[in-house]
Amino acid sequence: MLNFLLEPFGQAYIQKSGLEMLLIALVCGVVSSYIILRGVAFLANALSHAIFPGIIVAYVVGSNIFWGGLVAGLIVVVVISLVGQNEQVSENSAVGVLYIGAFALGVVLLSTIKRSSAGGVESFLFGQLFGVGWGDILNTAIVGTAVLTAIFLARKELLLTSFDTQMARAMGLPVNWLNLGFLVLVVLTVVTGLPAVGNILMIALVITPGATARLLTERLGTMIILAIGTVIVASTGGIVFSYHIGLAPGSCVVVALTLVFLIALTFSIIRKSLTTTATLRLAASPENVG
Amino acid sequence: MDDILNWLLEPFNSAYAGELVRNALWELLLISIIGGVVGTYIVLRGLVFIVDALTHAIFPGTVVAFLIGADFLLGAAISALIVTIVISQIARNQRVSEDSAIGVIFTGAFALGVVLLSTLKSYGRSLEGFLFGDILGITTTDLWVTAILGVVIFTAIFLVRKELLLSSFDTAMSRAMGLPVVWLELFLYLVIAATVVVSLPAVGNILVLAFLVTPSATARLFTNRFYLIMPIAAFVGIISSVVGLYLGYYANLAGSAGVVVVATGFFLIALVISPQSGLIVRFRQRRRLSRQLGRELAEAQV
Repeated sequence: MLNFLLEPFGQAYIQKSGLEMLLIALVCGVVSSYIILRGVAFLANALSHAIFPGIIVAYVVGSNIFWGGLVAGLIVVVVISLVGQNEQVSENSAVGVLYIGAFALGVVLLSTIKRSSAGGVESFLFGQLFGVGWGDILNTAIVGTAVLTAIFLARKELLLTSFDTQMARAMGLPVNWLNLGFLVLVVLTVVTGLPAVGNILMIALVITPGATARLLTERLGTMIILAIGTVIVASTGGIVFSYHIGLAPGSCVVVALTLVFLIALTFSIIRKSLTTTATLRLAASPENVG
Repeated sequence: MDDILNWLLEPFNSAYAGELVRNALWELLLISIIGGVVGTYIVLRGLVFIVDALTHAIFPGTVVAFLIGADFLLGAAISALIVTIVISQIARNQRVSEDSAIGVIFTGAFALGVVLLSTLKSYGRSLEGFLFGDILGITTTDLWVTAILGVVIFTAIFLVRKELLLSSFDTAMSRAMGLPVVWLELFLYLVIAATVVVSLPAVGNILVLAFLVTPSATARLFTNRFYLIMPIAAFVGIISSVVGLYLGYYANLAGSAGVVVVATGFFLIALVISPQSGLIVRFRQRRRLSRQLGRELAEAQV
C-alpha cells in the first residue's frame, strides 16, 4: 500500500509535477478562499475560458503562453468591467456572452494552425501535468509569491469588500479598484497553472478548494489552510492514480478534488442534521416543554 | 454580378461539399430559431451560469455513450437530468452559494469526461468533436430530430407562456397567485437541457452556450419588449450562422466557432449602438447634461 503511494514519486518527472502542484496548492488555496467569499466564481470561470485566444496567439507567434494568456486575461477584465455597467443586459449575461465569444475566437485561431505541428487541442485546455519543466515551476514560484504578497498586503481591504461593500465605500476604500485588482490576481493565478493543468481545469482549482473549505469552517484563516490541504490531498491522489492507471493526470487531480468536495458536502449535511435533531430534542425535553 | 452570385452560391452547390454545407445551414437555422426563443428566457432570468454548467456537465454522459456505443442523445439527456437535480439540491445548502456549487460540479463533471475519454489510446480528435461539434457532419436524421424536438419545445413553451413570463419577472407574486413556481423552473431547465442536447452534434459542448445566449443578449439591447426579443434573437442567430458558414468555407476556419465569433461581434456592436443603453447614447446624454448644467450655472451667476 505504502509502496503503491510512494513508487510514483521515485520518478523525476513525477517529482516535478508534485512540486508544481504543491506550489499551485499554496496559491490556489488562498485565492480560491477569497473567490468563494467574494462570490465571484462565475467571473473566475469566465476569465479562465477567455484567456484561450491569448494562449493560441502566443503559440503561433512563438512567444511564451504565459504572456499571451496574461494579456488576453487583462483585456477581458477591462472589457467585462466596462460592460457590467449596461443596465439592459445583466452582468451575468454579458460575462457569459463575452467569455464564450473569446473562447470561440481561440478555437477559430487554433483552426488556422497546421494541425500536425500543433499537437492536440487538449494540451492547451488540459495542460500536461507530467510534462512540467523547471522553467514552469520557477514561473509558478515567482508569480505565486507575487500574488500571495499582494493578497497579504491588501488582506483587510479584501475581506471588508467581500462582506460589506457599502461600508467599505463609506470608509473611503476604492472598492472598484479592489475588485479589478483581485480579478487581475485571479488571472495571474490561472495563467501560471496553464502548463500543468490547462485553462479549463484551472477553473476547478480556483473554485473547488475554497468551496470545500467553506463547507467546514467560517473562519478565513482555517478556511485557507483547509483549502490548501484539499488541493495537496487531491493532487497526491490524482497523480498516484493517474500514474498507475495511465489516465489524463490533470483531469484525475480535478476529479479527486471534486470527490473531496462531495465528501465535505456529505459531512456538512450530516453534521447539520445532527445539530438540528439535537436542538429539536432539547426543545422537546420535559423541562423545556413544561 | 454573376461572380458575386456564384461566390455566394458556391458553398451550397459545390460537388464535393454541397450537401454537407446545405445540411449545416439548415441545422444552424433550426438551432438559431430554437435558441432565440429559449435563450430569451435564459438571459432575462439570469440563468447563464446554470446553463453553462449544464452544457459542460453533459460531457461525461456523451463520453460514456460514445465508449459503450450507445446513443449519443440518450447519454446526453441522462447526464443533463442528473446534473440538473444535483445542482438544485446542492444550491439548497446555505453554506455554499449556488454560484460556487455550480462551478465545482461542472468542472468536476467535465474532468470526469476527460478522464473517461483518456481511456482511449488517441483521444485528441474525438475530444475536439465533443467540445466543438462537427457542423459538416450533420445528417438528414439529425435535421429531423432537431426539427421535431424544436416543434415539441415550442408547443410546450406556448402552452405555459403566461405562467413562464410572470414567474420570470415576479416570483413572489406568481407564488401568491398559486402558480407552481418550482415546477415551472424545472420545466424551463428541462426545455433548456433538451435544446442543449439537440444542438450538441452540430456545435459541441462548450460553444452551445453561445448559440443559446448571445443572440438573445444582443436582441435585448435593441428592445424592452419580451416577445420582440425572440424574433430579433433568431434573426441575429441566422445572420451569424450564414456569415460563419461562408468564413468556414472560404477562409477554412472552424465552422461553429466562426459562427460564435460573428455573433459575439454583433453583441459588441449592439453594446455600442443600442438605442437605450448603448455607449453612444450614454455619451450623448452625459454631454447634454453637462452642457445644461453649465448653462444653468451661468444663468445663476448672472
